[in-house]
Amino acid sequence: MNSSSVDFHSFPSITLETLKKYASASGDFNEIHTNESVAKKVGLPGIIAHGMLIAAYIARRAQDYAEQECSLKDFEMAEFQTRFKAMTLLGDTPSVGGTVRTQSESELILDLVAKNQKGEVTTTGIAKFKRHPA
Amino acid sequence: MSGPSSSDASSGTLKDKTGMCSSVFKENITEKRIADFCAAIGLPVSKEAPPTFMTVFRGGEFELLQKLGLQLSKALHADQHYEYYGPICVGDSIQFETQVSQVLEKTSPKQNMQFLTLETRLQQIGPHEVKLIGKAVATLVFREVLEPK
Repeated sequence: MNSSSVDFHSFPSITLETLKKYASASGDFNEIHTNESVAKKVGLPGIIAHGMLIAAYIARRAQDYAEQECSLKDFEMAEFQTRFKAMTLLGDTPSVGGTVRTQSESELILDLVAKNQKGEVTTTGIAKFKRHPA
Repeated sequence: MSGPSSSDASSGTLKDKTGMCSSVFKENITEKRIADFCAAIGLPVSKEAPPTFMTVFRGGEFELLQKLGLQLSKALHADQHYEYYGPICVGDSIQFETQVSQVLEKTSPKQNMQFLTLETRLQQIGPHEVKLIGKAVATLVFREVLEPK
């Protein structure tokens, strides 16, 4: 077990129900995420997941990692950046993991990726944590 | 005739819109708002919003896209960057506005691409002061495939 890696964790497969729930909770009602004919009309292969849903999974994995490392108890996320590389389709199963770029007394930086079930990177994320000012 | 000629006209003006601001939006963060978001991403309910909750404050982005005549269904979200200066919690009163911070255009023989960077600043309205608590920077791409000549 490499201490500088963040193990990959799987998230549930993307269903239409997941996307409808995310649409109403986030306020992103772009129909390419919920309506197949709209998605196809704009040239997509079908309904695609909200990029920000996958980003939320990446941020979750980052927070879980930071919480599990007890030395990082007083750390909180200061910055989060995500890049969308490829689409996540209905039925895809994302998993998230990556590496620890920096871990010190004051700072933790994680470089994470979300992959689909084929192992293709769909989304990248950088999470920066800083020690909570006491 | 919705081909390249009409887009040329709009792309010429899009760059000029750099600096354009949305209205100021206000929202009181209810327990349900955070709970629904947590449930949608598979997290247990919490009083404090998870990091990507900032995505709910996209009203300014949507308003600007509409003003610019850009269709949300044609946008590809390329990049999203958040900075956190403080937590967002149940009971908070938040105000935010969005600005067009950059417009980049890339043209190749096959397609026109417009990269639109939208910056949203979030402030927490307290009894005595207004505090900047976060920043969200979104890069959206609008792509138009050109007909071969």
